Amino acid sequence: MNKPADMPEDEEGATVAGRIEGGIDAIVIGDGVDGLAAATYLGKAGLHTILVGAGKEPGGRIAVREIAPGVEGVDGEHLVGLLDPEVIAELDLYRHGLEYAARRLDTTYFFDAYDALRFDGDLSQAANIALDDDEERDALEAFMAELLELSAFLRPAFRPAVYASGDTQKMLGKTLAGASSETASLIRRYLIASAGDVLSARFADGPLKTLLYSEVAFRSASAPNESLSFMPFLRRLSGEAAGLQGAVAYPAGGAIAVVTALRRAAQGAKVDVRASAPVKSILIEGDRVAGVMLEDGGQLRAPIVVAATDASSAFLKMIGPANIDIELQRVLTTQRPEIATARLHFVLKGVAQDETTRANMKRRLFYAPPVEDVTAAFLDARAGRVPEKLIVEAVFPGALDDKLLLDRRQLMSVMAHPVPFDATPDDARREAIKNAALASIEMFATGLSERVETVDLRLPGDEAAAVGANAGAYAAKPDILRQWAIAAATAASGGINGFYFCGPEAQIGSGMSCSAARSAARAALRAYRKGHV
Amino acid sequence: MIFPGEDIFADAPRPTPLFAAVASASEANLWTSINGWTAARVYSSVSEEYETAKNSAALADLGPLTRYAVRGADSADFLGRLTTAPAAGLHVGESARGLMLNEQGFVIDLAEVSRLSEDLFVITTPTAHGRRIKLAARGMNVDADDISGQVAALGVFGPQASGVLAAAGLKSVNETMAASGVLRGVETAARPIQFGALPGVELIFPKDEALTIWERIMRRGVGAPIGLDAMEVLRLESGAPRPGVDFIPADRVSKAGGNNKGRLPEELGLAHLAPLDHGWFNGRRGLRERTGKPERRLISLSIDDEVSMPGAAVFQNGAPVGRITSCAWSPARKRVVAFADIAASSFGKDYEISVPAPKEGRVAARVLETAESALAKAYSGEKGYSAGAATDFRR
Amino acid sequence: MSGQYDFLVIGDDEASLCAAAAAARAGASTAHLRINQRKKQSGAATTPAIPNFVWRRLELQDYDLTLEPASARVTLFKDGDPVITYAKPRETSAALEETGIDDHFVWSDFIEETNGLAANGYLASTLFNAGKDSGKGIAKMLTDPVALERTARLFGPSADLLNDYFTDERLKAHVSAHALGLAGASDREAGSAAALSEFFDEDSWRARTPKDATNLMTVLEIACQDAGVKSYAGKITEIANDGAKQIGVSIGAEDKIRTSYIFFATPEAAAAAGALQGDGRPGLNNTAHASITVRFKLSNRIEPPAGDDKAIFQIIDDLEDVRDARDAAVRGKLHERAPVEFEYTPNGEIVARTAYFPAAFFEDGAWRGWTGQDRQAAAAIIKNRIASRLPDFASQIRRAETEVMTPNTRESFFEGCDRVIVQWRRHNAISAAVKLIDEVMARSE
Repeated sequence: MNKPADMPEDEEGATVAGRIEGGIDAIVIGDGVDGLAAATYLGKAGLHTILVGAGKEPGGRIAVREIAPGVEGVDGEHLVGLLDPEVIAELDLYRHGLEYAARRLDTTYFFDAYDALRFDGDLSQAANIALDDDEERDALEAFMAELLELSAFLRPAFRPAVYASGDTQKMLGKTLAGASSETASLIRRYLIASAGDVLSARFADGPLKTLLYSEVAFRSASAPNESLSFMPFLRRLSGEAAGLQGAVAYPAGGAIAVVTALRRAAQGAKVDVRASAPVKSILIEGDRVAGVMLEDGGQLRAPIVVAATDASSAFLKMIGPANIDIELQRVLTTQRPEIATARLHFVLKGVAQDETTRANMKRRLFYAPPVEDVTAAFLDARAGRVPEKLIVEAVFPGALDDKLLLDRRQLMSVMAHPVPFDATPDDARREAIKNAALASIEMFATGLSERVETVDLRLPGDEAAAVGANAGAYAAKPDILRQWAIAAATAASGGINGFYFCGPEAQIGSGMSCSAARSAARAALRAYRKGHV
Repeated sequence: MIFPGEDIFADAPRPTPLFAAVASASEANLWTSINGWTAARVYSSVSEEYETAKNSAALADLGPLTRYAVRGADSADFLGRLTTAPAAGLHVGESARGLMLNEQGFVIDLAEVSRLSEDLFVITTPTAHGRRIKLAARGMNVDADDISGQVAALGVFGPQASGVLAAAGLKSVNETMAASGVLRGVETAARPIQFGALPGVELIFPKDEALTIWERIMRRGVGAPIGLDAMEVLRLESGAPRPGVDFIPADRVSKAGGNNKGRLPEELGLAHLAPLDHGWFNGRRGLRERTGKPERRLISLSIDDEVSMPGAAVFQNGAPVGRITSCAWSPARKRVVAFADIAASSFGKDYEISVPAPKEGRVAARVLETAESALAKAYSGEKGYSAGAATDFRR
Repeated sequence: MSGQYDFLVIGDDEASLCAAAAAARAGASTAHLRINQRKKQSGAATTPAIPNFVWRRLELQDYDLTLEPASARVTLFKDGDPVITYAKPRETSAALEETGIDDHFVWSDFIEETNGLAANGYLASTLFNAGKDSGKGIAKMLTDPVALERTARLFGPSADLLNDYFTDERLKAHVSAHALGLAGASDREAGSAAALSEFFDEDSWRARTPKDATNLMTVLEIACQDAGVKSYAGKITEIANDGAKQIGVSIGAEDKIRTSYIFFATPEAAAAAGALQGDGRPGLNNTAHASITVRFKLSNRIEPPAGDDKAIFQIIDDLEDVRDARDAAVRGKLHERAPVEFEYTPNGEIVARTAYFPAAFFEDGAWRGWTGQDRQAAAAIIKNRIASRLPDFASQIRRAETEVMTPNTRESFFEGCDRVIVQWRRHNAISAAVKLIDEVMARSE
């Protein structure tokens, strides 16, 4: 430890302007799930770790908020599908209170032109889908089997690599290099191909092609008719929930349960979590990190700093261009986000009476607009217009988790995609997005609009403002090559010794994952043990 | 002041601001193109020009090099990022050399930085880097303007350089401090430069005044213009590598294709220009990772022969280890002086160079101690070399 | 007729003929197939240049062939001065400086970077051509951050690259229109940066045969004959892929041949034959666009509004045209303000073309093909676009011939056939096709 000898040991608690606090092994910036996970890893390993977060409560963009009087909703995510199982195991998240109210969520797909279709939460059960056409069902079964296998094979490629350490890199290289030529040619094809091309080659026009087209496009910035747009789907299928690959689950209490479990785990690991402590800059001395300077003027000094904030805040604001290679800065600044996912909550009057609806409410509901409309939606969103029809994913927390049941009302949690990315959307834009989402929901839940009491909309700008981040980080993820490139560039941490990055840009795919945090924390620990920091 | 390689395929280069003046001084009328600007290869004869530079004062049109005026509060940080020159540590009037490195630590170009006032710097580079400069300025309060072509740049160097300048009425111009101001009615910036081992001054003034200043100096009849070919001899004697000739700049490597790789400062014998223990610069972390593991070495050789050819093979103990990248006859040494790019593992003292017909065979070559290699050795702390033993360009 | 070949090159363009001749000269038994029996007139006045190595390979000096490079690339905007660029970066940057476009400072760097991206040949072949070690290739790409970043840039939207370099909207629009026009692409679309980098390849600068000189197609056909290329014409009726080293191809009713590889020298040739069905080629959605050529015979010569009659002209109002027209094509609609490229032929005709029209039309929830009315509407759009820039144009038209090329999406003989090779570059198709032939030959040895 390189704690200056003449620095007084600080007491627990907030720093004071001009006060320098030492005796710290590691500082984690950012109190989202990645920050919490990284800090827990470090704390568990015995490092004196301080987590500094900008918000009042840890959780970052995952936060509980009052949607309407007496109705609470969870901002950010609603389902779990990418959460790294190794993080769950290593940090004992089940013991720290994480449990699923609904695992292996079935999905009901709704269409304009076809009857609704139900998918088993276990995607390998594709054969059980009630389809009139046997050929289509066989094609689906073969396709899903192929995708599940391939995405499992590619899992190392979807983990953020810590290039500085070289280990992950070697492992990844070994895995891929060992691919048979058939696998390699499939990977190559799925990497470049557009979702439209891949699906057209496998399916005739019909409900299966329609729903897969929307599934692939959901939450992605890559238009499904353009190349590089298929791979994000493999990323999604490489995840698992409650031990089942490609499945999604609803945590008891909602997505916030992940935050709560991580907080408890952090507590157990003796992480010193400090809320409302925004970081002004990261201190660099020579080529190594020295600590952080807080907005209030206090300094925390430590040989390890892990940033779990967005990359432009971490690299361009906290470290600053005068300390960052021109090439890294360029990677972080070239791409302009264009597409976003809208997060909505609808408070509905009354309760559903009929049996079908009640059964569906226990599932993941997914509206897949016609292929042409999805393509058009991406064109519109990219051009800055709110599309007429949006892909919608909806769940009813109250139906999935008894504890969340409301009295004579219902909360519907929705993600609608794609909408134009706008860091500071005006009211007209908000209104248009709400209307488009509602219109899309009307396509499968006729008359629902009349029951709507409150519509609550969160866009990337809102999420970013809540945690003082750059809104672009919460836009839809760009094409897979760009995601890889940015993840690789940011994970290299600008080459600064002792500095590690695990913000949203280090992650491949959308949703809570914590893989980046795990990679960063492990790299930090390795360096710490070898005495490199 | 190093010129980059010539543009071999360029047609119709643009005239430099001093072109009218230098064209009238040229007897040989032998021109080439550098960065798309006209550059005289020879004015009278290589040996005469060489002697003038060694004994009197030589005038060189430095117009083909690229110059940027850098202004703004973050100028020093910006230059410290863009180049390895310690811009923040420069006092007004001081100059420093440095390298431009990419993020992996490979050399993109050389650079010379001078501080003319608190927040005004001039940076000179062999080739243009408009794009890189724009990128490096992102997020910083700095304005970098390409002033090449808008200003005339005249290099005066040799033992009598200061005398020539004084005689021309440019008394306040001296060889140790950069300055800007009005010299007899002409807005001029002057700064010390070094060509080879020869100290000198670079005068930068508006292009409209090009002829006035040139004539004012030429009238005294002391100095004489010097062309690229004679400067090439001085350059080789001083051991300064030439981008595009002795190495491929890192930003062109992928275009050059094949097995070409970038070169680290130490591979070019320029480790002293990118010290790892001073301020941060672009590529330092990449450089740190790669430092101490050179794959190639660029060495100065003195060859026991009268002619040699770039591209000639270099042998050590009978085995080929590299090739000559540039060479010229040195009147002072009565030998050919050359740069050779060799495998780092064969870094030593004695080599042989293949020579073509009619003298087919091999001739002996020895590593040549140059001003630059002395600096490199002093930096690496080699025995017998202290920082004082070699003249550092920074004063 | 029957025969056994190493290559069957399918396509009616210059690049196909060059590829066939080059393969034959390199010792491969080669056949060439024309499907469309198109007129022996090229779709445009200019063709991609024939690079020196191809010239030497085909010994074109022995033929009566002259090519002169296009003089400039000109964009005629709705308002304001045209933007003009040239083959040589330095010439361009001087011209830009003269017209007051500040970005001239970074033009050379921009060309340098796009060339550098395109030079990442191994990346492209890793991604687009199957090979024994392709798993290693992908691993190499993913584990090298620098290579990865370049690849991401190369296959990303060209707008990212242009915005990163330039501030001048007209210059960005000019570059986008010229570089993306051949594919009918948008600068926001994934893969458009690859089209951009290919456009600036030095083998991409177009050239033409001067008036009264022998047509390039004619010369290349003779060159093919001389090289021993067997020539076929007709429609493919069947492809037998029985897993053997060679595949069987039936042409028309009589010809049955066997070949090791089917080779398409351009994406257009592949699209016309239906070989792009369901195949993910880089970025540009080849099957969404139709390409329309209109040849206008004029009563009197019309002076070009800028540049000279050896230049290549683009008509756009602004960059939005490129995006909107491409979006409209994807939606299956004609777009009034589609970018139009035109050139003067050596005998004074004007040849105009655009790839910004839809391959099929989407109406009332269903797709339908081109009709005579659509052709007329498309030709009218092109005519109006030119008339808006050339004052007397409309009154001088003596005759207009319209040709519509839509990608073949009906037949898909090629599906699942791993012995089909498609060369996907457009601007430097000739150079890239011959290089790809060499690569395939080297690989199969």
